This record gives sequence, structure tokens and C-alpha cells, in this order.
Amino acid sequence: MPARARSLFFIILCILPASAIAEIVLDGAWIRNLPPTIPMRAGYLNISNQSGQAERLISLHSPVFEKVEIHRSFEQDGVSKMEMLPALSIPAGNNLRLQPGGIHLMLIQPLLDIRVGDQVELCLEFEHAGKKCINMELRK
Amino acid sequence: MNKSSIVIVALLALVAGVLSSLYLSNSKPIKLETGLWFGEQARALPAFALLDHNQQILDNNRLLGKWSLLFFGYTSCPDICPLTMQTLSEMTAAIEKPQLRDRLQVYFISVDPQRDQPEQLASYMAYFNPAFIGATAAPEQLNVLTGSLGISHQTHKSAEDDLSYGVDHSSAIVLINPAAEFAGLFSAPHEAIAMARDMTLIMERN
Repeated sequence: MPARARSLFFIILCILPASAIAEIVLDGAWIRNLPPTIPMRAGYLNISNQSGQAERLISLHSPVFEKVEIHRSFEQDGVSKMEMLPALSIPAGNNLRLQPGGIHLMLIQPLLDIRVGDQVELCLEFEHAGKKCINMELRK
Repeated sequence: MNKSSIVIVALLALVAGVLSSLYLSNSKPIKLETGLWFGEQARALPAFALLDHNQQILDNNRLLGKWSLLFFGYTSCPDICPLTMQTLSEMTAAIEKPQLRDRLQVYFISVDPQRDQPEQLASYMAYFNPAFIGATAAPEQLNVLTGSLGISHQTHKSAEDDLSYGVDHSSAIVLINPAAEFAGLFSAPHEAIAMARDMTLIMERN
């Protein structure tokens, strides 16, 4: 095996275990922006639990918001309601999509001037996987 | 064409006009694409008065002459309300004939008068659709309108100084006819294109 191919092979060997232990995969994260006078924003993302065990999202933090909570919009007898969820469970091998009209993040009180196009860091604390961070894009 | 044939044509046109208006007013309610039952007896609204985002009175008289859609919500509702505002914007844009679009006015009625002052509503309308009108009123006045339309709303405050409270609200969108009467309810989930087709049909028939 030529030296270059061999080193490539070793690089791949090194990367493989790293991706195999990436048990929680976050993607598609965005925040719906609102006029600056409104203190709440809703955030959405995809949480994929690729580990062999059930996971729980236990807390959230963003340097740009005073508080981040998990909320759920639902409809009951023709009435739109919202409730706070203390945590989110994601069974092993499952994908949880937070999207408009359902489970979403409630981002309370922006601490900075935020605009459409900005990236906002969000860190999620999981029971087993620990802290995972992702950038959320502000969209209209 | 001689005089008598002109008279006959005119008479026929008159009879056709009378018959078609009789047909439309007597036609049975029809279930439209969105599920809205249209053509049931329209119902007059009690006298109400709200304040719009331009600090103008929004009362029964303001609803005369156009079709109106009333959506009830509040600006500190970050998930469902922006979604519905977006759907309503897409709906008006999807009505193909400009002369029909001009006969329709969308209203966002806030059920959270404490946080939604006219300035707050003004920035919300400017953000989502400057053609929409936002309005609200003190609870007693607001309830005259919501009560008569069967729209429920309830504030959930954890404490007197809680400012991040939620407000439950009916998800239906209310249809008001150009005589300022209640004419039907669009139930959630709302779909822009189906609603645009239904509104086109309603406005073309009436």
C-alpha cells in the first residue's frame, strides 16, 4: 500500500470510532424571529438519538436568551393551548423533530439585539450524552 | 332588433336575475373544501368597539362592505400565532383575482390586551403583513365580540407580575360577511391554498 493511501486508511480508522460514539445528533436548528418588542421566540430542531439507550433532554441554555424552556402547543376542543414540559425523552434509535405547531423551544427574553440571518448558540444537556451545542439560525 | 324584441330580452334578463338571486339566497348550506359550512343563516353581531393598531375605533360599521376574517391570538405566542399569520398572508396572496383580494380584510384580534397595546400590534402587523389590521380592547369590551362568536380565551398567570404567561385561545378563524354578520368558522388546522379557494368561491357567489 502506498504511503499516502496507508495514512488515509489510518485517518479513516481514527474518524470511524469518533462518529460511532456521536450518539446524539442535532440538526436543522432555527428560531422564528419576531419584532424586537416581543420577548419570546420559538425554536425548532431535530434530535436524533443514535445510541443504544433511551435519552432525556434535561436542560437548555443559550448565551443570547435569559431562559430556554421546552413547550408544547396542542389543540383541545377547538382551543389552542400551550404547556411547559420539564424534560424530553427520546427512545433509543428514535428521531424527535421539534417543529411549528407541536413541541418547540421557548426562548425567553433576548439579551442581545438579534436579527434574521444571525446564528445563536444553544446548548442542550442530556442525561447520558452530556452537553451538546448547536447554532440556530434566525429566520423570518 | 325591433322594440318588442328589446323588451322581451330585457324581461328575460330581469327574470333570470331574480331567479338566480332567489336561487343563491335559498340555496342550501354547502360544505366547502376547508370544511366550512357556508350559506347558513348569517347572524348579526352585537354592538362592539375595539381599538386598532392605528388607534382607530374598530366597530361593527368598519366591517361593512367587505368580507372579513378574524383571527384571535396574541403577540407573545411564538409558535402557533406566527404560523397562522403566515398562513393568512399566503392565503391572501393565493387569491388570484386582485378585485377579490380587495374585497377581503384580515384582522388579528388580540386576546391579551395587557401586553398587546396598539404600538405592539402595529409592529406585529408591519412584521407579518402591513395590510392586516390588529385590534384589541379591555376584557369587558373584548368579551362582547368573542362571546357572540363563541371564541374562548383564558389567561394563565402564575403570579400577578408574571409577564411570560400563556393565553389559551380558540384556533378557529371567523368569517364575517359584508353586512357585518357572522357567516361561518374556519376550523384549524388552517391551510392557505384551500382557504384561498374557498374565499374565492364565497366572494364570487355573493
